Amino acid sequence: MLTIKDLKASIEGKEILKGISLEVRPGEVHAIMGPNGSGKSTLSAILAGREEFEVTSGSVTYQGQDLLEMAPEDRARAGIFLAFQYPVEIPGVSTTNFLKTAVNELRKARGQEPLDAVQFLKLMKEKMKLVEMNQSLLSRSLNEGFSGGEKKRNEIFQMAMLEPNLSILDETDSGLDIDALRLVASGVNQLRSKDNACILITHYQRLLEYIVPDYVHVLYNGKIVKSGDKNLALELEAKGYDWIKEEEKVEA
Amino acid sequence: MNNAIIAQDPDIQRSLAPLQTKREEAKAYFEKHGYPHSKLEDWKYVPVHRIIAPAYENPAPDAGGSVDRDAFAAYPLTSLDAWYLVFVNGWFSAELSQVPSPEEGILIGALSDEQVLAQAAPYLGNVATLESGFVASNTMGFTDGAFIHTAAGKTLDKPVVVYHLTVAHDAPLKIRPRNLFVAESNSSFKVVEIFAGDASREALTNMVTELKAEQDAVVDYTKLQLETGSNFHVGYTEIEQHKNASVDTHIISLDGAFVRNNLHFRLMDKQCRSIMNGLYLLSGNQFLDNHTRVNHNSPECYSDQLYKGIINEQATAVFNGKIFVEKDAQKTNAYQRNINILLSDEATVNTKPQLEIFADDVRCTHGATSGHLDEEAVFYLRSRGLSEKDAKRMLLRAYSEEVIGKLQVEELIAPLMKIAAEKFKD
Ligand SMILES: Nc1ncnc2c1ncn2[C@@H]1O[C@H](COP(=O)(O)OP(=O)(O)O)[C@@H](O)[C@H]1O
Repeated sequence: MLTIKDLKASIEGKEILKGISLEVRPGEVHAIMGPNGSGKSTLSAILAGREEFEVTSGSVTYQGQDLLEMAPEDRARAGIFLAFQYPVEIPGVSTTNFLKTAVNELRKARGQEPLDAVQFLKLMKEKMKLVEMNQSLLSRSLNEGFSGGEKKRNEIFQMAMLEPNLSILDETDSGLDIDALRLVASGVNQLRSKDNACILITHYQRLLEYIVPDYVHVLYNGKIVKSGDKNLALELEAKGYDWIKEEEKVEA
Repeated sequence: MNNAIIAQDPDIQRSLAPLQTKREEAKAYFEKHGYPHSKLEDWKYVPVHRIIAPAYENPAPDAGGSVDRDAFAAYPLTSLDAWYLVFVNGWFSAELSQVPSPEEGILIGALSDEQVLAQAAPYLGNVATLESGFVASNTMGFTDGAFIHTAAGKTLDKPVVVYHLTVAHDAPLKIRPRNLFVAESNSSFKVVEIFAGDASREALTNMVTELKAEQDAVVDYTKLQLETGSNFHVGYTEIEQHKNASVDTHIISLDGAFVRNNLHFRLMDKQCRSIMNGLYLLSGNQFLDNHTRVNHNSPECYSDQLYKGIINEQATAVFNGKIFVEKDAQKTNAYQRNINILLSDEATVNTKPQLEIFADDVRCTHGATSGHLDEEAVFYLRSRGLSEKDAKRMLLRAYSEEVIGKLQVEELIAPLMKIAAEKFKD
């Protein structure tokens, strides 16, 4: 589904990603972990289509297409969803507001008929249950005055509405208390299927107790330095990131 | 030069003595000062010469009958659930207007009606001071205009639309409407001034509106600018409020080649409430200048201003907001915000808040910002599948809605949002 090959990227002449390779197949959940500053956000920004980073070499292929050539909206229409680490506030625009356009854009791309107002509302009701969203939150200006948990739940709610093939969750766990974390995780788990894949970007192992990954990769200093199954996350939890850093020093 | 301009004015006879006096004063002012020029601080950014240069003709009273019902219906907002006073090129059209049947204590009419003029005369020229050549020229040579008077305790059942239609195709026209709105104590009305029309020749509208809100009166005033073509507009809306009077204003400029709006409040007694809600959407080579001023002359008054603009292409916007808090005006609350979004590199904005506070126990804040559309928000919406165009349109819509959504004549909201959206179609 997604193939990243030797991806290098820099900003203002500084190399941040130093050759990342990753293969994600349908049905898989990959966790990308790593200490602060290792390049996790940069990777998710590039996958989402932000333009401030310059890709200097390598490739990213999504369902046979060159992802890096695609505009952000085309990525969304092709089934990629990014749950933002810091979702923006948009005064005067509610979730309901833009999501109707978004859902119908995606349907159009899939060759489906647009939903009318009634069908859209029905879909909303159904998906709201998933993350225990309430209607009033969805009618308010996006993220204005939302709590941290509400912002993240809203992201997962949108993910549910848009039914992506590949979702990328960027530090969705950060700043959440345990109840909010459970809600978010249960939402994500209910959306898992054999056709969908998910990339979880996280600093902590905590989220992985609720969303069990098939693979865990450790990103350090712009490179994936270790890959394994869910036990790698437990090991990291026990030993901390210093262990990785030490190993890197020895190898260098 | 100033005398030459005066000499071109048609001699509109006003039989009433108070008006003759005002007219003489205005003439004397104009002889001395003429039109303002860009060396004056308040006119610094305004190319006045551009709009006074054409050889204007003064429309005759029969202009009022020059547009029939069908033609009128083609213009925007001509069939609201409201009373209508319609002026074509500055002159009243009885055919296009619709006023309530006479009722004790409520008067709605046109100044070209001698009986209406007689009622209006004692108030005329008392709120608007002769502070520029435009006011003077209007006072000297105004053609016609609306008069609304509500006696103590009266409330108008429907809003009054004062529709100023400009149709200029044969010759450049100078159009000078004069309106007077008086709400006696504890009375209330809503009035909407609409400026619309089309001009293939230059048309200079020089309008003055005086609004007096007596004790406990509640007035809602909207000014909509929808003129297309070579329309030049210099407008003065002069408001005087007395004890505990409340006035909301909405100045919404969606079109017009050249616009200078002056909105002045004088708060004469305690506990006045004054709201200034403004929106301007500019594109092409439009020039628009909003000058506002609030004179807090009395204690415990509240004024709140929010002016928002979107400036595209080569358009230019100017904002100048003055707040004067006099020594006696303790416990004043005065707020002002001006926010601008520039959509192109060639768009210009000059914004200047100006606070002069002589009282010590006051709460005043002001802020002015000019920037681009929030790129983060655009990216967010695109990453949900919206095209860049749709994303920007949605943000601009929401931005405009904050102002348009506050209109108290709610019937205006949907059509105005539609007209606003048209401006950002591509
Ligand atoms: N806009 C930027 N300009 C310069 N350096 C940046 C910028 N964004 C990120 N970096 C640098 O790139 C590195 C990786 O950052 P980031 O991707 O945010 O890591 P993580 O998400 O793993 O904490 C850090 O050293 C950071 O300082």
